Amino acid sequence: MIKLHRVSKFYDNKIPAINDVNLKIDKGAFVFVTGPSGAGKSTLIKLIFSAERPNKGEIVVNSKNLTRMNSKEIPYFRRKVGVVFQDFKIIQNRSVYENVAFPLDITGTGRKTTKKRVWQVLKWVGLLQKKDALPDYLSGGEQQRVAIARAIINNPILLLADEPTGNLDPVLSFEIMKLFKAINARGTTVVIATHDKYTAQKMSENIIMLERGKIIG
Amino acid sequence: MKMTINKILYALRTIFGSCRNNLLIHLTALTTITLTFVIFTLFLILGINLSSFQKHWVERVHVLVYLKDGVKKASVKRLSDNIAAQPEVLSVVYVSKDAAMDMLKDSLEGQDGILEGLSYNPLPDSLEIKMKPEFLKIEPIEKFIKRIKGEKEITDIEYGQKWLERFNQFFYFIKTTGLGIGIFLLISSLFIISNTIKLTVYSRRDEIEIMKLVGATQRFIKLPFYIEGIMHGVLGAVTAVLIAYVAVALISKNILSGFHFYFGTGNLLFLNGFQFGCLIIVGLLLGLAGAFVSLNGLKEFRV
Repeated sequence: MIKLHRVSKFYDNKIPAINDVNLKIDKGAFVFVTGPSGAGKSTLIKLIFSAERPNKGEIVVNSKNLTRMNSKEIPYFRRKVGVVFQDFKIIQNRSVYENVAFPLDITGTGRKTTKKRVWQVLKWVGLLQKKDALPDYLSGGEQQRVAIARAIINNPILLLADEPTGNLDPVLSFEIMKLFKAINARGTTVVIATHDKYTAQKMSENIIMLERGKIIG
Repeated sequence: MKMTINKILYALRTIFGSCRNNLLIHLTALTTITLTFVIFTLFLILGINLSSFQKHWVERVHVLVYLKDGVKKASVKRLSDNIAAQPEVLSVVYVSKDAAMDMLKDSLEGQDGILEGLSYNPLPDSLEIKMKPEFLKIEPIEKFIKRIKGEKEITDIEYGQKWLERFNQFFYFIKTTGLGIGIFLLISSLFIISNTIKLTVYSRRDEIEIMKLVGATQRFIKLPFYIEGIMHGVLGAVTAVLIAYVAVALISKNILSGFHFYFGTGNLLFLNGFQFGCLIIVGLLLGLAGAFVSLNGLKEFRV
């Protein structure tokens, strides 16, 4: 599903965020990327959904070589990938329903189909009752579930999460992790970046350890 | 097709939301654009009316040829025929000094006491020449006069050249200044539209970031901003034309109604359908250009 071949990424300070990384993640895998702050976890996630381009090496996701992809192809690629962030990245002045429907709106999906899909997903993440609420009236865990619902509404082949439980307490974190596990059980490849290696070890045997931009285990 | 309609509907919903959330920004921009368009439209109307005014007056221009005292009728006839044969001339009418005095008296109706002290008629015999419309310009008139002024029966020729020259200079000045101010105003409108769009982009930057995350194309993200720009331009132009229409109607009714003599009908001319259409298209293009200027190169739109 994901292949990185000798990938390096430098930012302006010339210190490599990702340094000569080789990586292979199989289809249907449930993988954690862990490491201390600044290890390159977020950069790795960004490289996989083409928010950043590598300075060196090649990245192939779902048989698509991201390094050779032109900027017009990127949006279409992203429609097959769901992404979840620590700060949720949901639109504050739109309801739960509107936030989840967002990826369908941008592809011009009809209202009926959108409604059916959004209801299904909201029911699945347990937020159907709050479909008309604004994010401000939701707890952190609920906001993250909105973000997850939005990420899976298009039935992505790959779900990426960057510190998805960073803002949540241990109980809510566990709930969210269980949700990721359930998504993975439906066949979606899931890659989660987290600094919390204990949670990672508890949830999966498939862990990539990063330090100073290099894989150390 | 259905998908495209859905996308356009989504863009319109987004614009509606943006207008509601940034009402003050949009209203300020729209007011400023409307005002600049009002000034632009009024200059345009001034130009149209001056043009019509010029045409109206130039059509009345006669060349008056004053004759020496005591010229024999046969000589006058020969001169008149000679002038009538010139290609620029439409008609020639002989006005005797007595007829000229009668006309003067008529025009001074009620005040003809002025002429009471006159013991003789000081007015000369004259020929009143009407030019063909295509020759009613200073250059061809001057050329014509140069050709005939050597005739021995003629003492003087006049056609209000100084007035015509001054008017033409004034008209040219207004036209050039109007054009300069117009261009300046349109460029200002372009920057107002572009800055308004930049502000709305800034207020919606989080949403734009999320749009990129979930796979929205650049075209889809930018579409609402282009529509917003067009709406500003077109709405500004239409409102301005309405305001200018009311202004022109009020000026015509209250100020110019007593000047029929100068303005023919006594009413100011307004934009015709074609000119109105052109103004709307200018508004539309300005909105598009404003959006293009503001959206190009903004870091918010980088993939």
